[in-house]
Amino acid sequence: MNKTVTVNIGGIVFHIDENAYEKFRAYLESIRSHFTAAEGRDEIMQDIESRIAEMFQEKLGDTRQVITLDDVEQVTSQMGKPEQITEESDFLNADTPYQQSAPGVKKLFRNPDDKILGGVASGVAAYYDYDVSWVRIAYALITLFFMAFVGSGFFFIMLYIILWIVLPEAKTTIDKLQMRGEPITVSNIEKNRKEEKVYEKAFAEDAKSVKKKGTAMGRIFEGIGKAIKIIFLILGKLVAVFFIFIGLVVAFAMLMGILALIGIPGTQYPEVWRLVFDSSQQFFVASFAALLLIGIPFLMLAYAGVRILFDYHKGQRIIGFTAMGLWLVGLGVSLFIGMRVLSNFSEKDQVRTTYTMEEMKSNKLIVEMHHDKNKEKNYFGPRIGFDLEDDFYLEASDGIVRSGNVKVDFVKSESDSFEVVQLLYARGKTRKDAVDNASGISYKFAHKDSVLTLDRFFTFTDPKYRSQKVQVLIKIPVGSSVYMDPSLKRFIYDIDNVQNVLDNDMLGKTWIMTKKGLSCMDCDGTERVVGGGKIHIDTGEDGTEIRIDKKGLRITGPDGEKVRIDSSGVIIKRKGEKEYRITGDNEVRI
Amino acid sequence: MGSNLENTQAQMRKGVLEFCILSILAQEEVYPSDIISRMKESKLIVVEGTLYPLLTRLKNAGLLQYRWEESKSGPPRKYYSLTPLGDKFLDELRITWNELVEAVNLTTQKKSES
Repeated sequence: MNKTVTVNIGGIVFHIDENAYEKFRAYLESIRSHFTAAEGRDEIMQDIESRIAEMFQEKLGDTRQVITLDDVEQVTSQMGKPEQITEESDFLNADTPYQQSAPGVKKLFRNPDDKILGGVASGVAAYYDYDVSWVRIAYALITLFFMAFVGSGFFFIMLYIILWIVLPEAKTTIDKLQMRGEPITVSNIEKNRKEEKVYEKAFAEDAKSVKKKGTAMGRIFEGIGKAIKIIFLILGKLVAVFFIFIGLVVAFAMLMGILALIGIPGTQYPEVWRLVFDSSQQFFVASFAALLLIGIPFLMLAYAGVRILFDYHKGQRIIGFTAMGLWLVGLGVSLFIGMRVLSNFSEKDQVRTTYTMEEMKSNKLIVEMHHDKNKEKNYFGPRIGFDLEDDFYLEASDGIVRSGNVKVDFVKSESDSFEVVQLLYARGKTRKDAVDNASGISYKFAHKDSVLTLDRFFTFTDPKYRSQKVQVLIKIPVGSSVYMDPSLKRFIYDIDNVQNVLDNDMLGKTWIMTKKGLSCMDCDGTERVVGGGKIHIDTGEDGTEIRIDKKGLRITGPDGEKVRIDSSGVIIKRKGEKEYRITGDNEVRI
Repeated sequence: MGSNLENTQAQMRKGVLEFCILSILAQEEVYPSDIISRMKESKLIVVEGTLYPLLTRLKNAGLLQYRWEESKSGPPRKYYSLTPLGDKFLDELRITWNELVEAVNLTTQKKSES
């Protein structure tokens, strides 16, 4: 007894034994794979099917109803093997269609039979003949590695999604053979179909065995299984919605970016960004490339979301290819312009000018930043900066750029007078460019009597940003002092001093330059080197003091207790008691 | 040697296959299986399947045309005939064939004489 299948061959209905059907189907598929669409594949197949239908009908005659394996074998041998058919008919074409899909031709597909997400790893594994588990583990490890150590595994996740979209799924038996690079022959197709059937059967039997048991447990498991399936389905849709949301939000932001670049009124674009680029054209191209580079992955994310949401698995390959192409263009242009821009920063140089304060009457200098901070900062032009409070910023207006990148430092002067050294730094393509750019910096300060007022910013008129910065070195002769006004906050960094006081604690105090460096004159609880061989340490809070000078060493406590060492000997005084004196001649006096 | 011989034989057959098909079609309007039965007699075609791609190609080249005819014993049949272009093409082939036969005869005879 045989199961039969009903088929439509050339418009006529036949009953065909199941085993015969498998063979026949493989035969037709194999012939089909030997022709291309351009050669009229559909018409050829139609003609052959029609003829076969006729032959089947002749074989059946009036009495028989079912086509057997025997019939199929006879008809196919009369029609010829696929190789014979093409070999004998292809003499007109030099490059035969047979060679196009010749044995061993491999194509990259997604494998739907063994997949966790999209079957990408499985398809790649089949293509390179690796074990799929290793491919998955390796890919997961690489992604995790980049996430952990490079900071982002985004690229690898994107790559997977793009491959998922771009690669076609191996749907037909021929696809699956090509995926593994097996030759397309009738026997291979049959073999493959048999394997598939074995899988199907195995699944069917699994399902049956659960059903057969029919126990409460079985039903519960079945129920749980269904529930899990539904949960995953819902999770999938939620992820899809999330993808679409993220993708569209970023795409919208990108669009706003484009509008801003074009300069539509009401959208503010930072003119200062242009300072980095050679020309406005270059800036536009770079912005557009960056837009592609960042925007496309998010658009594709949204696209993937739409596909998941609507179960639209087919996917337009052209979309994937176009997106990848545009993305690569974006990447290429970004890299190219990035290199061009960076080359303008390759060399660094400085220009140094020194101003000597000759008309100093006192030996104390007061250093402050220009006070009218807000008036200077506002209404100049669009700016970039870390935050509004920060004094590192760039503003551009009418071809003049203003930068707050000013640093102030205090060092020892080699001469007897106060000096202000301006160090103007800049970068450029060459050393000469760097020097030119540095020379373009204009920085101002005012000196009146004993007050030195520094500007909070510098300007440059050749409006190209090349890491310009200004360092002001204030040189103090030994023995002179300096008062650091609190307005210096944010302009000073790591000023060396004897007491190792932190920058912000140095402000609002007077410092004296000693041979060892700056020393605080009016700090509480800090060591003070008074000069001339004197040392005075005042802890400040409870009145404990240590003095070392010509008179000797004195340590005084808050309640009058003290220890004193001088030329007459050692004196010890406890709280509320008289002095004990130990002299050199072994005598203790009270 | 066996496969070499087969290969050469197949090549020779292929060369004249188109000529023969066009010649049969020049005589009368025919159905593909008629062509096959005639060519099988002369052992020019080994398997039937060969014919369909050939006919499709000749039709697409504008040498053949066909019309549909209902059949009692199966799907409708395609009856093929030559187009005017096909006629001209066949004439050219005939001339070439005659020249070829003469040339082959000449060469092979010379060989056997010497």
